[in-house]
Amino acid sequence: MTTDAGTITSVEKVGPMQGLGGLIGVDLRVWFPLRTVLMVVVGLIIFGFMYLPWSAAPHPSVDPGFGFLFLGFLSVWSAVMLISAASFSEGAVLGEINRGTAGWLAAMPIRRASVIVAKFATAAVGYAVIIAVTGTLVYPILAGAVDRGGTGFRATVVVEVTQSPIGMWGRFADLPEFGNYLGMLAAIWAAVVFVVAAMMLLGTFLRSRTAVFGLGMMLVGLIVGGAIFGGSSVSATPAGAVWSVLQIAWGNDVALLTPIMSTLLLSIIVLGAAVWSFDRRELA
Amino acid sequence: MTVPAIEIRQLKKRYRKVEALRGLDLTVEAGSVCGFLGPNGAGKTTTMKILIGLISPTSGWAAVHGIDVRGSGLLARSRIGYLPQDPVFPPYQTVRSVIATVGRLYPGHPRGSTLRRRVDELIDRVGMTDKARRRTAGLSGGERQRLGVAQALIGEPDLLILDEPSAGLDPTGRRDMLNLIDEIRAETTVFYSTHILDDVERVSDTVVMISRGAVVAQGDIDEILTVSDTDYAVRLRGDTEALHGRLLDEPWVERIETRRHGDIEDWVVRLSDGSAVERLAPALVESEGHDIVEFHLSDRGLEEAYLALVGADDGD
Repeated sequence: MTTDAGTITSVEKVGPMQGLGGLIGVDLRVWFPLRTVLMVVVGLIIFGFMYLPWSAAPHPSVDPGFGFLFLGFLSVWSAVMLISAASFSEGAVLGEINRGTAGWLAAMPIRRASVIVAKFATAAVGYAVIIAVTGTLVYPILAGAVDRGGTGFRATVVVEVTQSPIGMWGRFADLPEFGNYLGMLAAIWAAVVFVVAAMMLLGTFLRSRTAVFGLGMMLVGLIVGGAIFGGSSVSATPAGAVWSVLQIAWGNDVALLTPIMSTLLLSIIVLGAAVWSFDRRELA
Repeated sequence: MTVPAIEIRQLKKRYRKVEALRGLDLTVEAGSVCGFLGPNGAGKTTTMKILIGLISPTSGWAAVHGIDVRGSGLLARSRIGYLPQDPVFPPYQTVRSVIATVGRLYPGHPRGSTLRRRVDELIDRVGMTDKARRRTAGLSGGERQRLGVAQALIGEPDLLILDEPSAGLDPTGRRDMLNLIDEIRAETTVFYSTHILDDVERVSDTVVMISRGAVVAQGDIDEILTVSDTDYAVRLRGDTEALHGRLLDEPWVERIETRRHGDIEDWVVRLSDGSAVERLAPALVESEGHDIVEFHLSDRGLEEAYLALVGADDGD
């Protein structure tokens, strides 16, 4: 067919990921710059809430130590990242289906898999940027905190009873080298990416966004709970990825590669299930 | 032989207890403008959604330009432009970016300045130049409809499927939409559903009428409008009384319906069989005292044809 403006090439075969680039271009606009900037700011605020009381007035008898700041920040920030993944992704598929834009996209010459893959890929890239930027920005401040408070055997005051501090005692970690620190960030990212994949799967077969969000929050609860109480038995799961990060921050020596790889593998399996399910869903 | 733009055979679709399509058969010739008529719930949107791959048929077969829409849906969709019944677009995108986005999803699409030029051309064509930078969230129903047509055309499709394109449009918008369909008939096959019979009469070459999930009539619009070869319309001026009486006495005339406006009288003469026209014509000419203004096979308005074929039920 020809017009004044151009001619479309006659196509006999269409590629397996036809239109993926165009869809990623659309979805990236959802993540950049608004969501990424927002979540970096949220991460920095969380860090600020941890840093300011730590730096202002350490207990006269007990130095809370660098470990309190490091472990506290990573715990709260990981949980917030997981919650945000559930919140941002609950409408990624079902919201589009309910609004009618999923049907609009599925009527185009693209595979439905491309819709899911594009949303997953952009969320994964978005969170990679958020976690890398926030993590990199706080690293020099953490390094400064080590210089100021030192590491080693430290105590953290939780409450004070009859002038005796009661709290967490133990040997906190030294600040890891930047390369290892990036590994910890990658583990948090892997867990977040798993939540994104799971939310997409839920969105392909459930009819209610409330149900998707509710189940997503339950999943986040399981991951956080597993990271706190699961121990090494959960190490090859998304909870294990977060558990490994917290263990390293606590000062224990655990491997990061296994939980990261197994969590990413699980994410791909869940994403495959989402593609399969979305392919079979009838769209309005 | 040209491959039909749409070919559907024994298409069935069941939603739990509801049978939406009951063995639908239809053919739409390439290069035609085909109106798809039927009451609410007759299966029009279901048929269109199956063609576009949004839903799967329970059984049967459908092809677009000879491409099976189930087996090679992606390839089939690369040749289709689609306007849904109530078009919805990402609310944060502008009119221009929606069209460009859709353009990029088509295989072999033009790029860069060629794509931009094509987008501008379409925006102009649907009369949205002043709204090109507006976000879709702020568009009225009629504007969304026009944007829907523009994005359906960006892939330069061989088949344009429009689900109720003039629904919800004001009279001006409706006229513009019909003009647009009329304009693009040279570029692509148009298959559109509607309830507005006047629209069909105005722009369609062919019509498919559907009721309760099955086709009740399809063909050229003239064929649909023609009742039979035994009904003739005669328009006369002058004294017709004597002729009327004489014809009624003939054994080959079954009945004459008459309607008078001023000095004009319209008759529909029903003959006993089609060959009796060879007697009717001389009888009209030889009789005196009146002029014959028109004489032809009687047809009916589309509304009459629709009601006769589809019935008054709404299909729900």
